[in-house]
Order: sequence, then structure tokens, then C-alpha cells
Amino acid sequence: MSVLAQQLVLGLLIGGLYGLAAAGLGLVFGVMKVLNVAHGELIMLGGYGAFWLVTLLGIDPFASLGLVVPLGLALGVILYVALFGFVVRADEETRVKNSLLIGFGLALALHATAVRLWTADERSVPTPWGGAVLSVGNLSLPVVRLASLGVALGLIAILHLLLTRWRWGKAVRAAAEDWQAALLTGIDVRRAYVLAFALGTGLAGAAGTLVTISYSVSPSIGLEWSLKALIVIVLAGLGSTFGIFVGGLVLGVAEALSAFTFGGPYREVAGLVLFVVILVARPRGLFGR
Amino acid sequence: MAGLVRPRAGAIRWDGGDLARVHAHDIVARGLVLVPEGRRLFTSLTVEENLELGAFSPRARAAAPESRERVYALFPVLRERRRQIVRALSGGQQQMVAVGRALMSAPRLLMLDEPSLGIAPRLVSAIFEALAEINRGGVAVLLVEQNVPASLSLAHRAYVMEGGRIVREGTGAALLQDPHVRRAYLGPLAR
Repeated sequence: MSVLAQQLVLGLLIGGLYGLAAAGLGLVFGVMKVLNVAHGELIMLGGYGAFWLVTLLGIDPFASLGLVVPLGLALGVILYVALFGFVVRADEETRVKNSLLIGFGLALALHATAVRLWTADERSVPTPWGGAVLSVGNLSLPVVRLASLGVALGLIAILHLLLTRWRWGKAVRAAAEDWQAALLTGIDVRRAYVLAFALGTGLAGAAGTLVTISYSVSPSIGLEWSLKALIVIVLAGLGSTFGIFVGGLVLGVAEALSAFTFGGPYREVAGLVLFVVILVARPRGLFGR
Repeated sequence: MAGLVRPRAGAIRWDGGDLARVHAHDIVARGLVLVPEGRRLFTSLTVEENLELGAFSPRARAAAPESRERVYALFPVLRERRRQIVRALSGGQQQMVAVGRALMSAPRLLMLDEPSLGIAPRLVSAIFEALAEINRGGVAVLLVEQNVPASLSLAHRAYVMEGGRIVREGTGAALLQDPHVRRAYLGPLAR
């Protein structure tokens, strides 16, 4: 019993990061109707960004977020202007095809660059309280992962506030719902798109940092994280930031249950089964509109 | 004219400039705003948020508090419903939000495409009365509408288009008496 409880807790802890990864992907998908398949590679890049800041400059791993996120926002603006901005102008069918081409191309390029710069080895970053464990009853909670979950929740809350309170956040939601009406209302839709994409990339950077702190990063983690994020947005649906976060937690717990019941190799199966079940039973997702 | 479709030839003159190459969102900032057919509101946002988004240009934002009061004075029901999601409103109330959102941009020309579409008759007259009120407040109103009697009673100038060509023009009152217009649009029983 306590083994199961322990597994579930660990599932929740990684689920928060799934949620954070999915929030960025879901924001871009919901607003621009573009599935950025390179989202996982952006997470990977964020992880290495943190790795460099910590090992080269000696910054505290959690404090490195303060640099990785702004760098991610800036990278998002560059990527939008250089690549994704062209896709958005096309009609829907061309948009889907071209965005997949651009996304996979970007993913390959980032993967190759990461192997060049950081080799294919797994890296992690040491935290001052690296091995500390919080014991609650007979559960042990790794402090670093607990802190990561807290930070992820905090970032989700900030995103929610930006989208619901800030003028431009509301403009992003308006453009997501009907971009032509947004234009007729006087909203610069292109700027709203740039903002959404930059926020998505900034969130990917944050997720990558937390992944590297709590677990590890290697050049090949991108695809796995893109898939997790995609499963979560199908599971949760678009339209609610906190809904996506909860979707991440659900996936983390489902994976833990699956691993406990059927054994470690079946961890991933849970996510894929959930994916299919939700698509059949409730295509707009648990919290989708 | 709203900038969603670019003219293939010719120019759109406004205030001494050509709008043919101006971005759609900048056209709103210059004082022309369109209430599109079918309203096209942001239905998952509240009434208040829709209105706020209407005042997006710096000039409109500076005037937003007064504009909002004017909209609520015109459509008092919107003040009661301001925290509700637009999807929960009736068609007529949604049309009020659409007109209100356009007014929030502090326009000098308000263009409306079929504002009576799919709306209860009682609310149509409320909206047309509001248009007259807006016009008295100094905003030019350009209305494209198939509800001929209501539009002609309202209009200072009216044009009748058939098959893409203007076939009649004149004051609204004069066109209401025009035999061709009466036969084609007002029916044999019209008095």
C-alpha cells in the first residue's frame, strides 16, 4: 500500500511538470491553431540553458529561471518572426502541413545543435539541497521535486492572471476565439500572436529548467515531452489554464498507477490509453469548451 | 472598408488619406468601425471584457470610461449583465454588445452589416432606436440591412441595391413612397 502511495506521489510531482509543458503548447495551439511539434525541443533547450547558467556562472538552479524565462520569451519572438509567422498567414490546411514541416525541421535542428554543444550525455544540475527528502508518514517527498511542483503551479497562476487581467492577455484570448473579429475590434492580431508564441516558449524554458533540476536533460528528451504535452492538452482540452495543469497531474498519476499495476515498462501505456479514451468519449477534453 | 478584404483597384478615401493599404486594426483607430454580420463577439468572454477590447487603440482607451457609460446608458440591460459571459445572452442582447463594442472605439463612422439578423422584432426596434440616438450624438452611421421599412424610416440618405448595382437613391422618407421600392420590398398591402 505504501509503495502505491509513494508511486502516486511521485506521479503527482512529475505531473505538475507535464502540466507546465502542456500549458505552453496549449497556449500556442489554442491561439494560433498551430501545433508546435518542436515544443519538447524548446523544453530541452531551456534545460540546457539552465545547465549552462548553473555550471558556467554558478547561479542557483531555481534562480536561473529568472534568466531562462526572459531568454525563452525573446527566443519565442525570434522564432515567430523568422518561422511561424509565415505559417499563420496561410489557410487552415496549408497551415497544418507547413507548421508540421517547420516544427519537425526545427526539432531536428535543435536536437543536432544540442548534441554539438552539450554532447549526447544526460546532464543534471546540483541544487544545494539536492538529496533532501521530506518524510510525511511513510511517504518520502524529494524536496527539489516538491519545490519544482510549487514553482510550476506559481507559473501557471501567473499565466492565468496575465490572460484574464492584462489587456493584451484578453486580446490573446479574443484572437484565439475569432481573429477576424479581433481585427475588426482594433486589436493588432499579429502582436497578440507574437505574444502568445513568446509566452509558450518562455513556459517551455521554465519547464525545461525544472525538468533539469528535478530529473535530467539530454538532447533526445524533446519528442517525449512534446508527446506528454500533447496527451495532456487532449486530455484536459483547451480554454482553461488550470484545467491543463490538472490534466498534467492526472497523466502523472495515471502513469504511476500503470507502472505499479503492470510494471515499469507499461508506464507510458497509461497516457496513450487515456489519449484514445478521451478522444472517443469526450473529444473536447475534460475541461475544454 | 474595414480592411479584411483588400480592394483590387481604386482607393478608399477617408479623412484625406487612402485606407486601401492600412491594417484592419489601424482603420479602427482612425475612427471607422464595423459591426460585422452575425455579431462575431468573443462569446467566452464577459460583456465587460468585450467592451474593454473594443477600446483598444490609445485614443479609444483614454475615452473608455465615458464610452462605457454611454453604452450602458444606451443599453441599460448590459450594465446588469456586464459580468456574464456573452454566450449566455439572447441574440438581441448580443447585438447590443456588438454595437457597444464598436462604440467603445470612439468611432466617427459606425458601419453595421445586417444588425437585425436573427433577433426578436421588439429588440430590433430597440437597436434601431439606439442607432438613431448614436447618430444624434454625432457619429455617422452606415447601415446595410434587409429590413427595408425600419431602415428607410431611420435613414437620412438611402440607396437600394439590386444585383450589386444601385438602382434607387434618395432620402429614406422619399424612398418609402417610391412605387418601385414599395412594390419590391414593402409588399402589396403596405400603406
